[in-house]
Amino acid sequence: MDNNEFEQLSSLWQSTDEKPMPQMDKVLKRHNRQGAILRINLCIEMLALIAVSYLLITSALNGLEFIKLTWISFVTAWAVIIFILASRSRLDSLKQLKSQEISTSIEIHKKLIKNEIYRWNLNIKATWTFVLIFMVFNIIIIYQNGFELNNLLIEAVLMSGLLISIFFFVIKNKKAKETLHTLEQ
Amino acid sequence: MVNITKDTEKEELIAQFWPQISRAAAGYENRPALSDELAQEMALSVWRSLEGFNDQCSLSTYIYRVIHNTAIDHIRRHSKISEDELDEAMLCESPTPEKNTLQAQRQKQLIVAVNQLPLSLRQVMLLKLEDLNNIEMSEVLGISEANVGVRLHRAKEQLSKLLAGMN
Repeated sequence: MDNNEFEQLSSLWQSTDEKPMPQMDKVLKRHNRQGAILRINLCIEMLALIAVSYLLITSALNGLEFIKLTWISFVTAWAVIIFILASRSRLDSLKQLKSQEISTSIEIHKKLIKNEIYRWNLNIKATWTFVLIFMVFNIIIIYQNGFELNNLLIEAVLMSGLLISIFFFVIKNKKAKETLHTLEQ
Repeated sequence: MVNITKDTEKEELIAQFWPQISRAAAGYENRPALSDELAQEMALSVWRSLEGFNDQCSLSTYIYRVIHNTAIDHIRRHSKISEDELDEAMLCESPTPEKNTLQAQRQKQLIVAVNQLPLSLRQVMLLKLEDLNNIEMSEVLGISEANVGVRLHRAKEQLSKLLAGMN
């Protein structure tokens, strides 16, 4: 491609139709709304955590069966650990997103995608751990109380949901890794 | 030192750079809905970054840098799927009467070909198509001039092949 050909190509490029220009006040409002949704999500997660902790305390005070108390303790500890690890990564990402350099440094984008990969990996491992402990817990319950069809159906639905979640996390993790590879080209 | 803090000044600058923003969005994203969204994201990033401009480079270089990094952010969040199918769909799109010209068809082919370039080559190609020189491109992308030269040479070669394959 010689200079003349490229100049023609450049003119062709620069003569393409423009998109209609957005109204900046609407774009800014939408951006602020997205920030609010993020904060609401964080509040919902914290409320869920408080609810699980409250359930654990009241169950312990009411002298719930040992195996059930162990299960609730596991769920609480599991939720707290995941929340702390995920929040640390999210806070780091938020710090990067607020940084002035976000618009001018590609390194920040690499850091953000690495944080995202960390969170998908965390979700995958955490969900597998939950599935395994859930299975062990149910085997013990069946061994102690016998087999109940209704419970088994509910648990099968729950287990399917968890396995679908793992599949979703694996796909998202794979896509995030592909994006990181593209950025590192 | 230039300080751009007034909303009216920011809006004027965005209007001034809107053609470049619009074309860069099309060059990075050929899915129409996402391309429009990317153009808005680019405008928003420019708006938010203008206060951080402190004469470390020319204003246009700074704005190009913001635009192209927003595209990277977009790629991070919307990984591309079924690009080939979309490219096919875009080329086969039935032309509207006002677009029914050879020029419009060539423009579409150019957009599709640019979108098919690997990211590192697409970045330099998009800037070159906007008539930036190698020094300006190295400032926008944060790479050496020599690297810009090598990438540009490869980008031109690949673009020629892609365009030849479409004719």
